[in-house]
Amino acid sequence: MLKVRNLARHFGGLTAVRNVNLDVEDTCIFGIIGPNGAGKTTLFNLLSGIFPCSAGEIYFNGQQVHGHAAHRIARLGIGRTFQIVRPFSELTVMQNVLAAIGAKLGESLPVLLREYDRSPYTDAARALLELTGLGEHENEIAKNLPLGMLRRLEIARALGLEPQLLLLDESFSGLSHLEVEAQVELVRRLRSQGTGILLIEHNMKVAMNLCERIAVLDHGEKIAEGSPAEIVGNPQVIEAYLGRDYDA
Amino acid sequence: MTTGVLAQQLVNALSLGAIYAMIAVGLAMIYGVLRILHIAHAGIYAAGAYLGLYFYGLTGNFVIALLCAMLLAGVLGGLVERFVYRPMIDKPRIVILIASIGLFICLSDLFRILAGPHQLPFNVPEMQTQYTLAGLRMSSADLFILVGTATIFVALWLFMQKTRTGFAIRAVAQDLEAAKTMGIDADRCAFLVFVVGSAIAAFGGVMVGVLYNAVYTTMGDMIAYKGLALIVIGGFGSMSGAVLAAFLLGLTETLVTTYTEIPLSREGIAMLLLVLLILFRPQGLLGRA
Amino acid sequence: MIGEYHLTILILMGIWMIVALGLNVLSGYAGLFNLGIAMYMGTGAYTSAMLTTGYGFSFWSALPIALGASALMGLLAGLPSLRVREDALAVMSIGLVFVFESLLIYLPYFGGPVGIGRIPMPSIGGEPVGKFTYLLIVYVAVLSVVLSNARLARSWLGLAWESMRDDELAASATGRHTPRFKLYAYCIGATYAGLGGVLYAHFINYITPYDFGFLPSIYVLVMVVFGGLGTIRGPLLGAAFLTAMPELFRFVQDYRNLIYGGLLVFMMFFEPRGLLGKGSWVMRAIRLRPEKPVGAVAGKTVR
Repeated sequence: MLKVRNLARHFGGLTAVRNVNLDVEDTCIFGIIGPNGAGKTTLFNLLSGIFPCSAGEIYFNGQQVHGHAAHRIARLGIGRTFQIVRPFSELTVMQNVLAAIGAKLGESLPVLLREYDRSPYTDAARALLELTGLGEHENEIAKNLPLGMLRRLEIARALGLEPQLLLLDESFSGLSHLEVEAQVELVRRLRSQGTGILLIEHNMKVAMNLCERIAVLDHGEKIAEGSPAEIVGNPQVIEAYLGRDYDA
Repeated sequence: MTTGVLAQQLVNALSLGAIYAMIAVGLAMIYGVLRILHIAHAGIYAAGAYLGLYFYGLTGNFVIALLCAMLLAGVLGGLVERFVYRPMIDKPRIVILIASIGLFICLSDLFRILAGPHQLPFNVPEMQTQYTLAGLRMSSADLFILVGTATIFVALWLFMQKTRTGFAIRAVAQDLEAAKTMGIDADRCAFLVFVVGSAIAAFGGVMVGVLYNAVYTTMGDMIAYKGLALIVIGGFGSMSGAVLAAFLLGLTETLVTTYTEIPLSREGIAMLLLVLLILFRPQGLLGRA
Repeated sequence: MIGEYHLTILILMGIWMIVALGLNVLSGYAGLFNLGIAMYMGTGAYTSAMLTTGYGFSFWSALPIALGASALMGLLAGLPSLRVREDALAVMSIGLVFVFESLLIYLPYFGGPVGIGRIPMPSIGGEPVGKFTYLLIVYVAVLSVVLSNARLARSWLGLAWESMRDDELAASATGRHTPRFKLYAYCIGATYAGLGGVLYAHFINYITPYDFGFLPSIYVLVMVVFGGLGTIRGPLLGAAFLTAMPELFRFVQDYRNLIYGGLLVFMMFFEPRGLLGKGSWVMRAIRLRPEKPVGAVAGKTVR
């Protein structure tokens, strides 16, 4: 589903991502882990079109993705959440999700002038809110929500575009134990409904538990890839993490 | 046109540029530390002119009047930082910008109410002596401006580069969080930057009043907008960029209005440059993005 | 009936309501900070004024052209503004309005600093209308603007604007091509402002470049911010209140700038959202738009 070849990104003299190759299969939960600063979020930014690639190629379901703008990529079927949540803060939960649903409808003037607070759309939005456990809060203004709900809201919003691949950037960080469990459930449910999941995670327990396959980044390069069991035993991975700790 | 006239215009441009620089440097410092577009700075500049006039009337001594004006303007700037901007610092930046505009409008009207709507003369005989150096005519006001500007810049440079406080200010401008974790008192830096910047702006205001023999309530208007243009052109937060932009603007204004027929006022020229620059080089001449 | 003097105030109120709603579209819904709305007002005003005084157009035939010109100006000014954000955008809008005013002053084609005079009142059935009829015309326009504005707010376009305002990056990541929406905001906001300009020109009968520069733009900003940016009721209140005040109270007229400036600062301290803004003290007191719905029973969020 997602093919990444020789992806690289430079910022002036600094190389954030170098020579990354990935093959993410359909309906798989794929994890990206690595020490801080390894380039994981940069990778996501490249995949979702927020940064242009300095080199390399990205193909999604056979279609070229690299070089396209963020909104095109979103409409092609790649949704994402952000490491630091970015809700539409003055809008309600319902409106946040509707915003994505609306984007799916397109941008011709006749469509744009239609009212949004109407049946097929609000029903679809409610379904997503139910799925992410936010059904009771549809009229709350986003900025009043606690972090746990905001993370779920981001997922609900990303789902509004009916993505085939969902990029989750550390969506478990800052959550309580109970919230983490609920979130894991949610991700599994999404996967069973056919959405591919690519997630960045610092929480090792979550990553090992949830992911079927994991790639490890360090200093912008992929240093290992495999099943959770293979990764845990990999000496290079251990060194990447522990080596960092010793230096710090 | 003959070289004589050109050279004369260059002298005027230099004077003008120096005045702009006085204003721009304070604005850039303030933007650097607080990320605020301090439009009310022009109000402080005009206040400086009025204060200078007042103290000159009181003491009859120009230098004392100038120093008093600078001192009081500095105090005023500090008060503005402490009681207007600092309480708002966590609000969205738009809110602070609007407050600054409100403050500026308020100040300008205050001058009208306190000192009357009419233009006041600022007649300082010592500043009107004409000198001829190398065929160029300059008044002592021009000389005073140039010498004063140079002195202030040197002092400022030394302060920023060689003192602990200067270092603190530069640290805050570069990275507020990092500076705070180093134990730097960002509030004090903000306060200082306002005091110093305001005092320098007052110098500009007094000199403009003397140079043109006029102090009036709307003298800050054009400065406000040009000042904005200058920090944008120079690169937000870059002091040297602002100074460079100031002299460039002085030069452009003088040459364009003397030699061409462009249908723009001097302010229009500054603004056009501003728009073009934002378009083609949004980080300004010397700014970091 | 209403006296002449009151008619004038009401007409002016209506005109500024329209311009304020234009600024609200740009800055309130789309979040594009703008300190130069009067340039679009001026585009409408000058276009209509010149067509009716110099080229024999009637008010009615000039109107669509003036509106089109305003929309076009919005587009032209919007295009360069696409690349910039926040502070640079604010400064850019100041720069543009100054260049606009400057060109009007220095290009003799537009009448120069003296402006354009003897702008005729509109005619219906061959007769120029009276003040009362003009009042009706103005308020029909106000109503149209309010209704279309309300419709926009409830539409996907309005939602896209607000999402872009709240977080442009997230809006892009959610599939919205934000530059397009910015341009829509510029065009529509400018058109509203231009409409206000046309009505202004034909009422005052005499316009100068100084009517459409930076300071008038700030006055409109005060109206919108005072009333409540991002709502329809806010600009309406702000325009009404701040137009009536100096007319009704002499001392306000004399200290106008002091009061307006002070008001801006005061509002930013205590109620940056505006008097009738979402979640403001007043709104919460009236309990019409509570920030947090009580309990699980929360009605539909209606604008």
